Amino acid sequence: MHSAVAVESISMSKQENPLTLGCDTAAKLFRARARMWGAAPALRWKARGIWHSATWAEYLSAARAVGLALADLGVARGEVVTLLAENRPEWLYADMGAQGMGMVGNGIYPTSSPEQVEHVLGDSHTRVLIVEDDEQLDKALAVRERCPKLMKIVVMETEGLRGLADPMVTSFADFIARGSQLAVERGADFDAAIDEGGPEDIAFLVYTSGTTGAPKGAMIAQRNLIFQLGTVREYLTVEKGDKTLSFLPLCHIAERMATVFNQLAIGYIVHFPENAGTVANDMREVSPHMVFAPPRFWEKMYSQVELFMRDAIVPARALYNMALKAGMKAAEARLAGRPAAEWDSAKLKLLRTLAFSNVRDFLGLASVKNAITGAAPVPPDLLKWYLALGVDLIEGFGMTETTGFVCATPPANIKVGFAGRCAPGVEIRLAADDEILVRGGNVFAGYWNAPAKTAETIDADGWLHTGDCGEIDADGYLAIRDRIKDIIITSGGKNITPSNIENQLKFSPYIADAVVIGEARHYLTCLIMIDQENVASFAQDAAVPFTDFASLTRAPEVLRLIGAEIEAVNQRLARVEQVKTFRILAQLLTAEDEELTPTMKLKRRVVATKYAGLVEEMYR
Amino acid sequence: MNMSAPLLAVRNLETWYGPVCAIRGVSLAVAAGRIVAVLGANGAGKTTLLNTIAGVIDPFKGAIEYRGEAIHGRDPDQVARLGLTLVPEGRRVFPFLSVADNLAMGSFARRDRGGQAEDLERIYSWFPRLKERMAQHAGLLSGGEQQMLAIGRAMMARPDLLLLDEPSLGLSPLLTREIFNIVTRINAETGMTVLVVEQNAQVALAHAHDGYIMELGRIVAADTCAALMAKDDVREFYLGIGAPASADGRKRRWKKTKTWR
Repeated sequence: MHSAVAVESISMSKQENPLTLGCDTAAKLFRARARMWGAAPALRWKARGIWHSATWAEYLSAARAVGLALADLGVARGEVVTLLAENRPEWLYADMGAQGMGMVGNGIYPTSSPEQVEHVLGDSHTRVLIVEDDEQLDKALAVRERCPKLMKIVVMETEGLRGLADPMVTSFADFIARGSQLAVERGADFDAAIDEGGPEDIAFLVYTSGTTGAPKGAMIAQRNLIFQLGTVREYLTVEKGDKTLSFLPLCHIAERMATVFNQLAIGYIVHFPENAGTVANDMREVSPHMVFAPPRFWEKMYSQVELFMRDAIVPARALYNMALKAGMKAAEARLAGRPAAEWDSAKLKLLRTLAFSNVRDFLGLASVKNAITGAAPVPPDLLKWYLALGVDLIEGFGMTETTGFVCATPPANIKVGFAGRCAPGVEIRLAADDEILVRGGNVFAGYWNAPAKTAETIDADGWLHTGDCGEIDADGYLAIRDRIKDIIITSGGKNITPSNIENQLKFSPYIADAVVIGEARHYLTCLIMIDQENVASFAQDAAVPFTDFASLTRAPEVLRLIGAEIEAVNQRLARVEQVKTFRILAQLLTAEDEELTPTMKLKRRVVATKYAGLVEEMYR
Repeated sequence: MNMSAPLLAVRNLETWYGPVCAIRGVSLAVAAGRIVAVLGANGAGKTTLLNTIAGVIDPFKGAIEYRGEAIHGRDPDQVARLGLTLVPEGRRVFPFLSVADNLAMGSFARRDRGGQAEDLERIYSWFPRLKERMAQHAGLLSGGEQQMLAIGRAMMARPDLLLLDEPSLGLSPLLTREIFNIVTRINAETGMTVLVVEQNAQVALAHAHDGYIMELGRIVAADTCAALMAKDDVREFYLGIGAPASADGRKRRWKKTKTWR
């Protein structure tokens, strides 16, 4: 019936918009879709190696059951229900069930510490917490005394909890059974609750990871969601029945929009990987049509291929290099605006098929139609590599406070280094010191219980102060330079954008992340987090002995290797931007360490403080 | 580690079983006169490591140097004649030969009769139970006795470096301690260097001087045994000394990623 069609959403009235069907809340749209698409598959998940499927009708019925069970516990409209679990169908059943009843959804990163969990539960006044397993349950039980509003904890996986007899804890199976029973008796309550909802209702909270101060809960209203859904065709060409893989944390705005909400507009099938370790394999199996991921993900795939080719047999390597050269040339011609006839030849297509179809299969990118990156600075060389491969990787810009995308690059006109144009209905402009300001239907409804912080962020005219600075070119394309707070002013008074330098450093397969230091100093230095796999591979090839990770970071040959990578980048930088010296972090960091965000980025301030000793060494 | 060159130096060892990489870049050093333990769970690559050193498997990449001489890629009997003797996993005594004949097989490559007799006496003094069962078929011995026999057989080659593969396998805790006490005694009395691979971290760390921990073909921690026993991750994951209880007094259950700090 309503197969997604590429239509200009500008002059369409809400009545006719095939993406939102004239609904003013996402919950209403969800119900409408479930009725329209009832028997079609909506969600798939892999358990013990076998894929399982849930239809739209089953999705709605599960959400209804959870919603009714929550109301039965006494959770009221506007109260918060929080999820602490990896991505799985139950996450969506709970989130959409809560939102259907007019409650507010919320998510906590599964890698959070108990203290972080306590902060979110306390700040949001969460009434019901739904956790994945005994590990997450332990965190909740450790802090529940200090969360007086919390009345129930629901556990999805009850393995290892057989002996538990806590009045506050129940299993998800029992919970949803109760809800299903209620659905028989008073299923209409769910529909009534959905009908009661309106565009100003808060749909869910997203706690921003907070590099400065404690995390704040950004409130996303129903009207924000409807607005964003109305503009998805600006950057997505995927159709109903296409496939995506949901592997980024659902509590992050980008994944939430991509998996839960954009699906309501388009009707693609969301696949959940078996666990974090099987993502690469599941990518290959699912071969998704749409992939959104931060630059780090695309960088890892790129360096995997590059290093793999280094060990490949000569004919394969020769073919790869030949195809890459042709592809890069075509990419450059395309980016320079030359007409397609000039660079899109049959020869290029042939080379691509011969050299790259296996590579794309291996990466899981064989069927991709929409490849998007953002949420962190993107190295231009990375984009070019994917273009050379035949994958149109486009950059977007957005944040939690803008309900995801503000700008996205139209694939027909990619400009490297720019994050594209903003969607209709969104305005952007530059303020003093080039801060990017955004105004439009996607600007959030403020911070939960923090009116002062909200007033600091959204001004009287409705402009959101993003905290990022950048430039806008004549075509309306936005380029992001850096977070304003991160701009370094050297002792000589020079302004340095560390992202620019760090970006280029991260493109090296041996460098996973870097933090440039230099505030009020004579020269710039940096702290490096190496990519363990690739550097260990290098050490093996070069017969450099090492025992554990720390010894690898101390090996003189590794220091020389990293030094050379930094020198190569220095060549492309102005004198004042060059990195004089560096130190390698001797610990293998994981998402549970305080130095890293859940999305594996180094936290500038934390790193500079924690490794102050190393920093001082570099300035001696 | 002492300043002089190590007796055995392994560098960047990489061993494959067909398409599977069992050892992915292991480097370690065994100093003369020390007992060095290599710990790890099943599948970590420990037995592969010993078998590669002993010459049973050839490495794909890397080098093994014994007294400064490259020995990787050599036949196992050449390696054995140089003074490295392997006590294989699962003991592998010759079941239809007597205890005495098994021991005699150990000194197969030697020509000095006097020395052999002397060693035999010494071994019987370390392992009195073997002397009692001198004429018995080795296959009829108990597990612990077979382990003693396997070690004795290796000792009959008068090795400079003893490679011990999981001596505690299938043995009672009491016997395991007995075996390790004897090995420690031999090391103290004769200065024989020992490289022991073990799953039983507790007994290995208690008796060895230096330790390496392997996981999935890589070394994740390398230090003296005293230092290793103090590391949180070693205590929790290898010694079973439970992590501190959670706030409400219950045993903490959450899976912590190992960080080896």
